[in-house]
Amino acid sequence: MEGGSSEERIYEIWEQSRANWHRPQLPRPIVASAEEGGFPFKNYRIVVETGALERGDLYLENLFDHLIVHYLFCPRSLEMAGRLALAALEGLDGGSDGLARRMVNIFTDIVVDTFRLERSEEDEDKVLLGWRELARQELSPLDEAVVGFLGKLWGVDLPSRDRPEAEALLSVFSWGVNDRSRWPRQCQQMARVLGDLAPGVLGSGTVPSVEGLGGDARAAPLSGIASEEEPEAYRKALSVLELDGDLVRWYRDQSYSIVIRPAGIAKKSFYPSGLLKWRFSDPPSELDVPYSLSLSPRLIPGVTTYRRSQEWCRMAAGSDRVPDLLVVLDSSGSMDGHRRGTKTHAATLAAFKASIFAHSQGAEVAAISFSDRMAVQEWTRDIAAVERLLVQHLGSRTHIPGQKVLNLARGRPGCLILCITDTHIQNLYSEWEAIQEAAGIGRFVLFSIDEANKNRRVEEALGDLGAVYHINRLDDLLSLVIETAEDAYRPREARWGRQSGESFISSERMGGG
Amino acid sequence: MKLKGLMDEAYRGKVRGKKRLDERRGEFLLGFEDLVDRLKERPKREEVEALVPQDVESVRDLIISAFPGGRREEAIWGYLTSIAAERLPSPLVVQPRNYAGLELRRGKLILDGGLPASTGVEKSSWRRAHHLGERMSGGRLVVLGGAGDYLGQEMRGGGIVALSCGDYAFRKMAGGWGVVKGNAGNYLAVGASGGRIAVKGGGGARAGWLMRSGRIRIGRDVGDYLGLMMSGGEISAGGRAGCRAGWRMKGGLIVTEGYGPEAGDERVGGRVIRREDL
Repeated sequence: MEGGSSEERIYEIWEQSRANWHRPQLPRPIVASAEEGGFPFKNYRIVVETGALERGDLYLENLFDHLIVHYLFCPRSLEMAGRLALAALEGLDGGSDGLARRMVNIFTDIVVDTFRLERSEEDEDKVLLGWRELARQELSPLDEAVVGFLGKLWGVDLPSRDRPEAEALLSVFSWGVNDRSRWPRQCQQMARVLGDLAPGVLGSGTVPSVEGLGGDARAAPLSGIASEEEPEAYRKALSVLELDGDLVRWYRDQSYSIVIRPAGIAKKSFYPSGLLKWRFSDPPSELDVPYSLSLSPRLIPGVTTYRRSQEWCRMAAGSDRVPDLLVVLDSSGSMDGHRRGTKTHAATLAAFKASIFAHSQGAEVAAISFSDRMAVQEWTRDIAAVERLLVQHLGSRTHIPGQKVLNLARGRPGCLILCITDTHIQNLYSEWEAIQEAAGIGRFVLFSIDEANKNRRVEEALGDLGAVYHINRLDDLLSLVIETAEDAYRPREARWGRQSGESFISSERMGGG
Repeated sequence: MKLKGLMDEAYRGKVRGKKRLDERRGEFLLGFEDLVDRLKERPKREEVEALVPQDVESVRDLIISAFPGGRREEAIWGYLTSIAAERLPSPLVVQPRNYAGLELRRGKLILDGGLPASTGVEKSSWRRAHHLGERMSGGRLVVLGGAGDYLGQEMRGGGIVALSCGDYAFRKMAGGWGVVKGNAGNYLAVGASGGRIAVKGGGGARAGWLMRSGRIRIGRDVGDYLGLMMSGGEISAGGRAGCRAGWRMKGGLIVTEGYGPEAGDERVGGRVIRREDL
């Protein structure tokens, strides 16, 4: 095939493949030779090597069909790819990222081609074309096991040596491949069976996913995996997918699934409209005397007396200045560190969500992470910098940096100050005046975890600062921070209706909100 | 146009009318490792039972194909043997492994390591499995060889037959019966509160320690501290007991052919007597 004409031919085949699968919205493939190193743009990832073009149109259509089913069916999303990666790692019991990636790729290849083979006879010929070509080559033990197993599963003649692993794989895949919920367990068992075999050509390359194809895999939220797995397991899963799953992303992905309703609750209100005659039967207070006298020098009831009619409607809440947000987060040793279910986890997640929400509302954000040391992020619109600061765990004792809070609050009068800590503040009396002053400048909201250790005197003193929430259950912390953020960023008119101390959580709330 | 007609037209007959591949039906379980992965750290029998297939042949396949490693997996395997034995109309025969017959309720389980049952002699290759028949409440467990430690521990019913047993056999036994054709190890029926035990050979030290109720019959000699601090039940031995038999006992009866030194010392209640004195 030559230059322009070969490209046209490829696009014809591509369109044919798309038509086979109901025209999914996928980018056109790019032709690249191995020496060129692929197409440079990340949002176009379907790359056809020049070598594949020489194998004929049917082979190319098979290749396109295979890729399309990867993006439509298995693994389809990055989330599913991550779950398969975790399953493969568990099946390999401490295997390398590369081997786990290979297992995920082999698993998805088996699922995709079994699905295609099942669909129609037309697809069967194309599917077998590629595998028969592979079976004719000199194969590694792993490839041989897979090819032998597929021959048995599909009941077709694929030339390969019999291996004992084929039988074990057959029992794993004999349940079919259409049920997505079974894939992680099937992938785990497959990895357990194949993990010790020397790899070959099968399963090399990146794990396909729609997010990867779109070029946004590095930012795509994986809230499912992040909220179910510990940071280390999450990092490993993303590492298999060749992504960086650091602590910041772990928290950010969890926070995606938490919803803070944006402001803009409409207010119902009455307002005066046209004029009506005031009669004796109407309340005297409704008589519009100035207006009536402006029309006639004498007030004759029902003749020269007027009143204003009133209508009600929803009124859009007026625009309001968005308060900036200062997050003061305790990262001392008593908060337990970054693991699911700890105080640090709940506090950091709540701080993340509040910061991201405030940032999305146009507020500037500052943050302090403190123990007996402190890390400070000054007022900024760079949310990534705030996130990096919030995941710092300093350990050691709890010394609240009152003076620093005051300095930051002075820079943004009226700001919202969210302070999340447990009740082991050891320098509260020495920092008291600074905190009190800061609470006077902004709106101070303290979330005090660890009800069991509360001190009555401290509690009473803190109550004077502003709103104080004593958190009995860690789940409440997130809800209360969200409620506070929701309330703070709601327009002022909409906020009037709320009563201070109102909360849907059973925790005690002191002071005015 | 009906949906089927619409789909047929859309696919223009490309889609198969009949399924190309056979798919397995029933409970989705991918083998013993998969079962282990799905269970908690310390699974209960009910949790295992809820996950295993209803089909008894599938359970038997799981038992045979399993290679349990570690205490947790062995306990799960033990539950599987009990579940399969209860469901099968005929006895289930499996290799002896730790925890076989765990919480067995009915049915018959035979642990066969290839030893001819009639010889009554253990082969050198026989693997002495531990915790056999633990917490069983019914059924029969036949061990065609020697059992390891903790045979029939905490059993409440049913019966166990073994060629011999290690230490702590029938510990905290509350009911049922046990027959040991050869010798028993130390600490036989420690803390037993019921049941019957017959040992054809000899017994080790501290048999019937803290025993509250039940009966123990030992065919030959028995070790030191027989019936130590026992408060009820009966122990009889066909041979002699070692030293300090019935030491600090509070109740019950010990009968043997003879005793070593300090028999019945510091005894509060119960009786320690020779057979000839009966």
